Amino acid sequence: MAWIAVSCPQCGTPLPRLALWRSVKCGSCGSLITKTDSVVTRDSFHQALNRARKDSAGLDALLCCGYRYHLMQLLGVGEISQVYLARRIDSLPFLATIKLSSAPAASSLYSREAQVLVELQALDADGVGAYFSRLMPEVISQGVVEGNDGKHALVLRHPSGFWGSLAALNERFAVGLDPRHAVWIWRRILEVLNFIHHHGWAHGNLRPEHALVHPQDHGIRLIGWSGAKKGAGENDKSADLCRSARVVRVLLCGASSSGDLPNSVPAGLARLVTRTTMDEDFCRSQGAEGMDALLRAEAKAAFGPPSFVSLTI
Amino acid sequence: MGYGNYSSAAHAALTASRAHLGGSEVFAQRQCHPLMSPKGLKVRECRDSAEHPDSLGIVFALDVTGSMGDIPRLLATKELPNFMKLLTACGVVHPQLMFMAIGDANSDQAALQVGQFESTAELMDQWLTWSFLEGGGGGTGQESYDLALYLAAQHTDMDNWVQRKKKGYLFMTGDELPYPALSRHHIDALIGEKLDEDIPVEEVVAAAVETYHVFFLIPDLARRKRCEARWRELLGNHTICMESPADTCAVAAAIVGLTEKLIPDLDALAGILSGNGFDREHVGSTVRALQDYAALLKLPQSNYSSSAATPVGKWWKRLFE
Repeated sequence: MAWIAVSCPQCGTPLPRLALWRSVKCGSCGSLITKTDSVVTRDSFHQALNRARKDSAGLDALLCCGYRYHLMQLLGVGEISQVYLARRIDSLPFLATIKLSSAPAASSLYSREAQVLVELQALDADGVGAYFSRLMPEVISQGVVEGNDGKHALVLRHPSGFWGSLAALNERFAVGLDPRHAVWIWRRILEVLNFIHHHGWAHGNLRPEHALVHPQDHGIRLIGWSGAKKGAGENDKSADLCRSARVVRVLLCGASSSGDLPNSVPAGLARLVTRTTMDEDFCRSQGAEGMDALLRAEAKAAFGPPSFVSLTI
Repeated sequence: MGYGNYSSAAHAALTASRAHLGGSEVFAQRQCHPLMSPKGLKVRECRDSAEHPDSLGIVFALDVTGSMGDIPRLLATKELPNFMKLLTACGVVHPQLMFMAIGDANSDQAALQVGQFESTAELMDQWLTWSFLEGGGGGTGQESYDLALYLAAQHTDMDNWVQRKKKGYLFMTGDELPYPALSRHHIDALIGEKLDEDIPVEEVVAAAVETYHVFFLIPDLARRKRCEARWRELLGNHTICMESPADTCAVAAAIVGLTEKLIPDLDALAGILSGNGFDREHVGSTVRALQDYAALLKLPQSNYSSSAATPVGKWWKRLFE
């Protein structure tokens, strides 16, 4: 057996046995002692992380669940929340949508919404769940905002390319949206409803503010899932369908309307919208899939075979 | 390394000649090639030269465990010339490519294989096809991606960074989680280098990010569920979920073009892809995969329409009460 005395080469003070395999700081003279020249110290990597975080130190930041976020843009204001576009401060940036509570009731709703979204993201059905998981919000975290008077935050992955909500779209097209756009918007909503209804869920609070529009891709993303219901019955599902038709009616009428469908809406489409808006039994009998088939038929009769019509905002 | 000129025609001919071959014929190594062994590796250099005065180091760290063998095969039999063609179309004229192969250091024989930075089709192809597709992986849901990050941070030296403070690119492909920390035992066993302690993967990422634009490419939507959230924690919007492994080269080339500001936006990207023979489906899936990253580059110009979440006094409010 060979005996080794580990001592500081600078001052001769005995060093702990850790010095045999890692860097240590001499307790006496403060020198950093490494065993050989070729030892790579963790500290150099740690410093890299510190530098990355320091680069953004001057920014106003919101701290939630261990991460710092820089709030960049106010996206909307609701009864209990302010919604921001935010950027996570770290080595590599991450864009998030943050719902920041402005009323005490928000915390339980955020918690509920986060739970719902996690369960919805986990749904799968012969592989199509991967497709639908992209159409629904993704939770990053939710919890108390540190040092901010007990405010809560729900942090979601920011969906890029979305222009705004259908409520904003309704404002933009105040005299009514082109019915051809209303058709694809309704079809996208029905597509998501069909998926969640198939898995026993209902959205529960479908309204123009709870759907975002992606004009370029003709995409719709449903948001506001805190009222979603698992184990939904036929009534819940038909209520979703009924409300989807009301959303479409709002778009067709426009913000400046008194609520009557304009004459530019083809008669068949107008009848389908009106009936779906009011007749829950009809919704129940058709389901989302049947409703989509009826809508396709009416759209084809009115506008011909499907074609991409650019939504210019 | 990095001398010689690239010939797109030669490269396309090289890959086309073996398009009919099986994976085991293209990748004939049955163990780590001695020249790709990282043991004793000091540094991989990406240097400027008279032929390449503006070199740009690009590293592909390919996961070669069982579930991920399709990307190396696609690169070797079809896609790598497309990557180079797109880079050229974007205006990146002096790229130098290096291939690494990544496995699982806890269970594989060759958990880390490292090529050299190269500029010619023959040498790029050589290092790619010398990779040993071990097809292992430990079944733990984690692979040793940390080794690629460490190697890039600690053992590469690029003139684009040293001379011009321009970062290189590190593209990792994979469908598993990273280990939480880089093990000093693994580094000792594989590279023969001493670490004073294990290094958390966040710190390894931070070190790599100082000289590279680091990206993690997930091959398809079905596989994103098991690893995307963790990678997004580590790499943010540099985590790219593709719709098909066949998009790897188009996505990587587009990232270089967008980051270098040689492609102004996704519309221009779609035009470049279409102009280089990519079909509509391929163009669409590439553009969709890059939307989040492109949004990040466009900041702070967001055109999101702010609105009150519950507009007051609208005629239609009663419909939803």
